[in-house]
Amino acid sequence: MVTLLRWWLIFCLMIIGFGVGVYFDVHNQIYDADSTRLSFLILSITFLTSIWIGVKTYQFNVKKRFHQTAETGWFIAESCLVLGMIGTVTGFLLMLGTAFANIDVTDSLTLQQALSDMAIGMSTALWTTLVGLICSLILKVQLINFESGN
Amino acid sequence: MDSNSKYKSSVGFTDMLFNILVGFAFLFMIAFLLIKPEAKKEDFERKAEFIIIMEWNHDAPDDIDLYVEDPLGLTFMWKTRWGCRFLSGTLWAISCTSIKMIWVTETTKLLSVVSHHRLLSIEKW
Repeated sequence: MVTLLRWWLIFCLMIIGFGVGVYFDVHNQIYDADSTRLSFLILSITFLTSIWIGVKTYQFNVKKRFHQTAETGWFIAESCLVLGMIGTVTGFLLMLGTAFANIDVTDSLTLQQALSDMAIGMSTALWTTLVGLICSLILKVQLINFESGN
Repeated sequence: MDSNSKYKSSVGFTDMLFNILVGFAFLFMIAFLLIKPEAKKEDFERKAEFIIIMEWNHDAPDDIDLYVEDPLGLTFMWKTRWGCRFLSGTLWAISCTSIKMIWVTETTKLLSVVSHHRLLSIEKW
C-alpha cells in the first residue's frame, strides 16, 4: 500500500509540476520553440505511462496480482530519451537546411531571418532534449518505486 | 532486460553531446554570417585645414550669424538658420541645430570666426 501511496505522491507532484509550467506559460514557449511538436508527444506518452504504472502498482498492492512486470515501462522511459534525441537531430537539420537558403550577406534583413530560422532549429533541439530527459526521469522514478514494492 | 542495463543508458549523454555540437555549429554560423567585408575606401581624398562647428538650441529665438574672412578679404558668411551661401572651395553641412564649415583648400588662413561676439571652437583637421 505504501508503494501505491508513493506512486500517488509522485503522480500528484508531476501534475503540480505541469500546472506550474502552464501557469508560467511554458507550454506556449514550447509550442513556439519546438517546431516538430515532439515535446508534446513525449509529455503525452509520459502522462499515459504514468497512469499505466499506477494501474500496475494498484493491481500489485491492492488486488494482490503479483505477476506484474514493468519491462515495457522501462522501454518507454528509454524511448522518451530517444524521442528527445530524434528532436535534437531534427532541430539540427532544420538549422542547417533553412539557414542558407535565401541568404544575402549584404542585406541585414536576410541575415536576421537566417538567424531566426537557425534559432528555431536550435530551440527545437534543446527543448526536445530537456523534455525527454525530464519525462524519462519521472517515469524511471515511478518504475523504481514500483519495483521496490515488488 | 537485466537490472543493470536499465540504469546504464547513454542516450541522454549522447543527446547532450549532440546539443553541444548544435550549439557550436550555431555559434560558428553566427560568426560566419557576421563577418563583414572590408569597408570601401573613399573615392577621393578630402583635404581640409579647419573645421568650424556652430551649434545652437533649436528652440532659441536668437538669430545666428557666422562670418569667416580669409587673407584675401573674402568673407564667408552664413546669415540665417534657414539658408547658406555656397562658396568655391568651401563645404557646408547644416542640420537643424548646427552648422559645420570645412575648408577644402589648404592655403586659406582663418582670421576670425564670430557668432554673436563669441569665438567659436576651431578644430584643426
